[in-house]
Amino acid sequence: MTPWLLTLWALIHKEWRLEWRSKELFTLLACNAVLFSVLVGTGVSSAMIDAATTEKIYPMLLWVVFMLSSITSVTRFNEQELEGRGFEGLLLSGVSGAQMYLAKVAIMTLFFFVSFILLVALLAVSLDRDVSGIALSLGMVGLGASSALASLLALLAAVASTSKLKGILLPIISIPVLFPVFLSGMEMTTELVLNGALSEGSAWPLILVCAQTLYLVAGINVFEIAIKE
Amino acid sequence: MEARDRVLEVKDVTKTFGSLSVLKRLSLSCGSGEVLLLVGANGAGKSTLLRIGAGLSRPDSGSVIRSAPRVGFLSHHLFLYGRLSVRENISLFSTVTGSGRCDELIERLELSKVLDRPLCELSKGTQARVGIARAFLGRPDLVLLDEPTSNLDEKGTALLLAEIQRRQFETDGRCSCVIATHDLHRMASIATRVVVLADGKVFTDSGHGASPDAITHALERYREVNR
Repeated sequence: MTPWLLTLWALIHKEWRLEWRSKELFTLLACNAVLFSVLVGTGVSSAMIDAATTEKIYPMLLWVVFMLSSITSVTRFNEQELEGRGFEGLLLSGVSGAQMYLAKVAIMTLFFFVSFILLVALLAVSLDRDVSGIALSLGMVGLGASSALASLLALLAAVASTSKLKGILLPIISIPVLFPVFLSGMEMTTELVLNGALSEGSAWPLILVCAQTLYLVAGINVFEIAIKE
Repeated sequence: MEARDRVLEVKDVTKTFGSLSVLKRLSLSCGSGEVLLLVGANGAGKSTLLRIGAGLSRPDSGSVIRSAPRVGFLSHHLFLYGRLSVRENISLFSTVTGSGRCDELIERLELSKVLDRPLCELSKGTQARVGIARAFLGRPDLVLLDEPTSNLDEKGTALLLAEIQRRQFETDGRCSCVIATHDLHRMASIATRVVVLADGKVFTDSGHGASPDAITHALERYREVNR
């Protein structure tokens, strides 16, 4: 393993241990997933929406809940870095912003993906939908979207963490920029729910890949500037 | 002093925070092997100058040239992770600096007994020792210390001074050190130069390779100003 990758691995390990000790991100993601699913399930059942309509709105509900739950959960993600000024310690040790950023993206992707799986299951139960036939494809879409979401939120959480408005700044700046992920995720899920597979020649996977590439390039290049004084 | 002998040079540096001007076209250089004591009243600009020297802060104008490849920085901020154990913190920073095993450093700083305890559960003094370990892990050629003794007792200070001297020995006296401090009594013993800052500028400089008399004179001037 090269020194660069060794450092990246050490940073991923650090992120994992910090999250393991605090359990902040996972607890928030899980609580939000349960809360939003129950709210949505109760709303749909009290509106007495029929099964066919529920099937049509399931993808939209899934992605609205997933995006909201993810964005609201990461507002405290960099708190431990700020408490001990860990970012600066790493910069002083010659770690690049790109390495710190990629480590955060890796850990966020993992937790977002787990929360996505949880949400799919919870919403399927609360809306009485059977998604077992498309679980694998839906999982692939979720993994791609989790990775894109993490690529953007890792950067924006760092930008917001240095602001006095960090609690509300993150949703304000991230929601408009995350629209391609939301739309592509929702459209791909709709295709999976209605047709059982993605339509041939569908442009949505490409849009998701393009959005993720854009976020990654921006994060790798800008993260260090965002965390420096 | 030849340009090649300078490990850190700041030229005409200014830095303002809001309406407060902290550094006003300040110029200063630190030579190879020099132990520079930076003294001055609170708000004189010592910490800001060190942060700029370490590359943690950008000056509003002026230039900073740092030729030392490895920089160690220590301040009252630990630059560590409170929820990780001492071992995990040291392991992380030794990996990212590529310094390998550091058992000797841990022994020297008497951290063996607290290796598996979370940093946030330790006393300020012990935390500061872990901070010293982090600063010296990467085998620095330039060490910037901002009020390094503020949380240290006599023993901790002695360990820090020993670590600085050890690093100088390892580098054949080429490791440079800039120490911003109010603790003149304890830190003056290793200084080879004293610079007094006042109002964001250099007020007095004992000069490179100053004699003990010149250092004493500079410190006396500082005391007079602060009386």
